[in-house]
Amino acid sequence: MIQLLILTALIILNFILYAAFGSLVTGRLKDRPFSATVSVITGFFIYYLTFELVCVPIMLKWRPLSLLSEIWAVILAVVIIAAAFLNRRLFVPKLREIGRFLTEHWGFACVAAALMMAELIVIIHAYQFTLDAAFYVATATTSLQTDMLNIYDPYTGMWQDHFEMRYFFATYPLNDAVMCKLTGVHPLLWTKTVMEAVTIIMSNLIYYRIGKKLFKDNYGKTAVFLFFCGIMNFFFTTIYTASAFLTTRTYEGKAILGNVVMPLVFLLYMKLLEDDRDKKIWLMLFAVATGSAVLSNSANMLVPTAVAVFTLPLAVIKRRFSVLIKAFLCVLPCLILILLYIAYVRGMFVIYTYPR
Amino acid sequence: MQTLTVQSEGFLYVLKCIQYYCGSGLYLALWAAAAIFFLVKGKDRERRIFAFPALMLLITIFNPVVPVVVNHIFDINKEYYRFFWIAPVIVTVAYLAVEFLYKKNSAARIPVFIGITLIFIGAGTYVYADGYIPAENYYKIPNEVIAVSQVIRDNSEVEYPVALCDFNMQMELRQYDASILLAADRTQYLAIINGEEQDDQVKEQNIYVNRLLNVITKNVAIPEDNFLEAMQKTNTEFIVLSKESPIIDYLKDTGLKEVGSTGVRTVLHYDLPERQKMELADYKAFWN
Repeated sequence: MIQLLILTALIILNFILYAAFGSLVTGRLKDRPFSATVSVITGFFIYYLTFELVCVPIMLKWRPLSLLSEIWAVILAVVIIAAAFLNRRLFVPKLREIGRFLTEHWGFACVAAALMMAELIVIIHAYQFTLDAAFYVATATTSLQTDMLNIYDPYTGMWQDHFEMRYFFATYPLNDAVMCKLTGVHPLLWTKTVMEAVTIIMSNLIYYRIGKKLFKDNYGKTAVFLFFCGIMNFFFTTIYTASAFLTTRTYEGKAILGNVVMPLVFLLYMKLLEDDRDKKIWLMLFAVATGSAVLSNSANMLVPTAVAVFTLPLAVIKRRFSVLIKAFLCVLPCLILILLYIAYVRGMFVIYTYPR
Repeated sequence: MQTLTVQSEGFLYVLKCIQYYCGSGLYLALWAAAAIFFLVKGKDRERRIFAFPALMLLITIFNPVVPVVVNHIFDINKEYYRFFWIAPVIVTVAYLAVEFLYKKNSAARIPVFIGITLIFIGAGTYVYADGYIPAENYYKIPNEVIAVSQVIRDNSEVEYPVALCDFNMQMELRQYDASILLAADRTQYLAIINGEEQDDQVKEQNIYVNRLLNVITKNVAIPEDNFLEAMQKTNTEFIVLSKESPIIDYLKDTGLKEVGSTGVRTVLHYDLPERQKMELADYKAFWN
């Protein structure tokens, strides 16, 4: 029971962190109301993007996980204090507004909460044997065991003479290791319970935002929409679908890619259809594209393709070439990472794990 | 999609990918039908949101020529299916279902709602159709893994013992305890159990690991000296196998001793004549 309470607290902690990161941006926007869900979603990507910027230099200098953890703890503390201080006038009215919303739309709130709880309980309580856990979870356990970052092979524990570039920039499992170091929780608990729950909730938050947008704030329709989405996620499940990743491989960055990033790109496309000159939506798309590269190496191909699939019709509809330029700029970091990976695969460079 | 390749399938690759992706389910067909519906009968907003991106997907991701061309630049054989994630299947189908439902009067909504739900259930396969296996503990790994880890720890004189296990144990052991090293990685293991061809250089590198894997996975009793040489060269002290494994008697005959057993597994230990102590690399000298 105590274990369950600790894990629940850690799930909530993650959302507080995302909200803190996000509110530093969304709380400063003068032209739109402060939104809790938008802050969490924005914060999620800024969180991982910031982590990448801290993690990669430390990895390149062969510094230990403990150093990264200390630096990350300081950053988290600073962000939380800054968010609390800078947004102190926003939080209390927002909490009151959320309270009012829940009272006015209690039916919707109950249905949405029940659906999400059902998904959380069913998925988290299940045992799944998946091969990729041998990499993703073991990356966190290996990093903790050795106090190093990507220096040892997670499959075997043996020392590697060079960094495997396929995973070098996808530092999501290293964030798991850092959070385990800071909280003292075993990586299996962190990845297969805490982060599973985070992914499921994030996915539902995006579906909620999509439903809200599609049905123009009709919460009855949005509740049914969430129900249908939930049902389909449990039945659209050959081993290849994004839904299968959500229900069986939830702790992997790829699950977030398929079930958070892809629907979010679609949501941003809907927003751009309304106003393609809104710089903030483009900035959000940039943050999502760049942040998703941290989650999984597959994002570097998938996100630019998704952005192209949605922005080409947008450019035609709006009859504006500038849409394509903005889209290109949004995915440029992903494209650079692809080029780096191709150069590595073709033997053009190697990053060694020791000085030569 | 490990078995599909663009080289062998050519322009049929996409179609086969779609078959694999959907299995016996109909969700992609439902999405295509919904997109066509919006294109023909939808409001302008619906056409822009759902139909135009679907058309774009049709001429890109679902275009049989695209993987053939792209494969010249990147090897996309194994992961092309992930591009299908771009299609907003669930959102599109759910939206159409909700709009259809709300076009009915209040009295008809409940039966229509049930009908739609049943269609969604029938259009796919339940993720736990083969049985729902509850996690045995908070770690969400079998208790066996924890027990095997404990047996190895109790019988090891070194901080980082090297083990080789049956496939499932091999995949889960280091998720729980990363202080236990494994003699074979996933690629080496899969290559042996799937009988994959390895090029000469890889074969040469993996010669000793392959020897051990052949013994424990194919139950091949090789000359004792060769087996023990492979144990020594890979520094392997522990072998973990199912109690039912027919190779256990052979392993005991070569000098391995049973040091413990768990629910369904036996842990065997080999006293290495020349143990190479595994230590973590010291990076402190490089930090200044």
